[in-house]
Amino acid sequence: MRTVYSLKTFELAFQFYKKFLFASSFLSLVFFFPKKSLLLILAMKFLLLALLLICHAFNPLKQKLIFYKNFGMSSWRLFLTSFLIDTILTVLLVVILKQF
Amino acid sequence: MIIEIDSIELNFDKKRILYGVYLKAETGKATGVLGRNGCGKTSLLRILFGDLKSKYKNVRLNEKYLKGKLYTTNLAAYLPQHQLLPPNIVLKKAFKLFNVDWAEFLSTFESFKVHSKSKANELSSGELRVIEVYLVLNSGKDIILLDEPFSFVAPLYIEKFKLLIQEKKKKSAIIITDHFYREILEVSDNTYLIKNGSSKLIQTKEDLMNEDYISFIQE
Repeated sequence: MRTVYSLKTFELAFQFYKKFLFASSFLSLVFFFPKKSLLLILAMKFLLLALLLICHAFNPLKQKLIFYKNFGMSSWRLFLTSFLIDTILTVLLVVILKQF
Repeated sequence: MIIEIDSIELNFDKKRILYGVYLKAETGKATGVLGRNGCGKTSLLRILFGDLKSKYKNVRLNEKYLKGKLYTTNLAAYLPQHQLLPPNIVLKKAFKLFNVDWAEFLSTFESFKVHSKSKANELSSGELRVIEVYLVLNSGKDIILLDEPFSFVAPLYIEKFKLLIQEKKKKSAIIITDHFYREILEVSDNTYLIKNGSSKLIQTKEDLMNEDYISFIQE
């Protein structure tokens, strides 16, 4: 399998994802306190990410993906890897919050 | 590496932009693309890279038809006309991702020492362009596509990039387009002019004059 999930793929995806980190954490908190299930939180985030992917199919947001395409990353791979990172961070946040 | 593109048809609304283009670039040569504003130079590079979908296109790598998008092969680097780097990226991080040595960059562009810890959005558009052109040229990719690399760049740096293009073309097929036609003619081994949606191979400045691209020859 080609370097689908090399370290660089994650570095690039995190570079893209980090501007949404705060908003994503905020969403996790908003959905966590009404005791929504983790699955529902992740499903909600997946839908938002899909919406973001659609927005990035058109200029000028599409232009911002050229940087990632220079490393062979398609929009799909970038968004799915970002979702993977988001899932890991959301699970971590929910596990931490459940300790309190 | 030999890359060829032909049989392109690109329309915006009902206007035909590109329909009779043939372009060939190969390792060891820099290939220039000239043309007036809006003639389709940028669209041509974007179609080649796989970022813009056209009605038809035929891209061949070493005479083999390329089915998917060129960028997914990871063989090509593309410098777009607009900003390439994400605004929030730390420059050293960008160099690391492109596998380019920051110290080596500083040996040629000393004035950038002050930007060792800077992010892309802390640079002027000219400085950022220098970084982006340098990164793409040093990306080590087999195919390098440069869309207006000399725009916003100081004349001193343009000279440095001309030398760098001569060095990098030994290992990469370089396709370059810019409004600076003298620079393009100087660095290119082959030059195409895009006019009325078609490409034409240009040999001399006189050809450009005959095609009404320039009105007089300035030495």
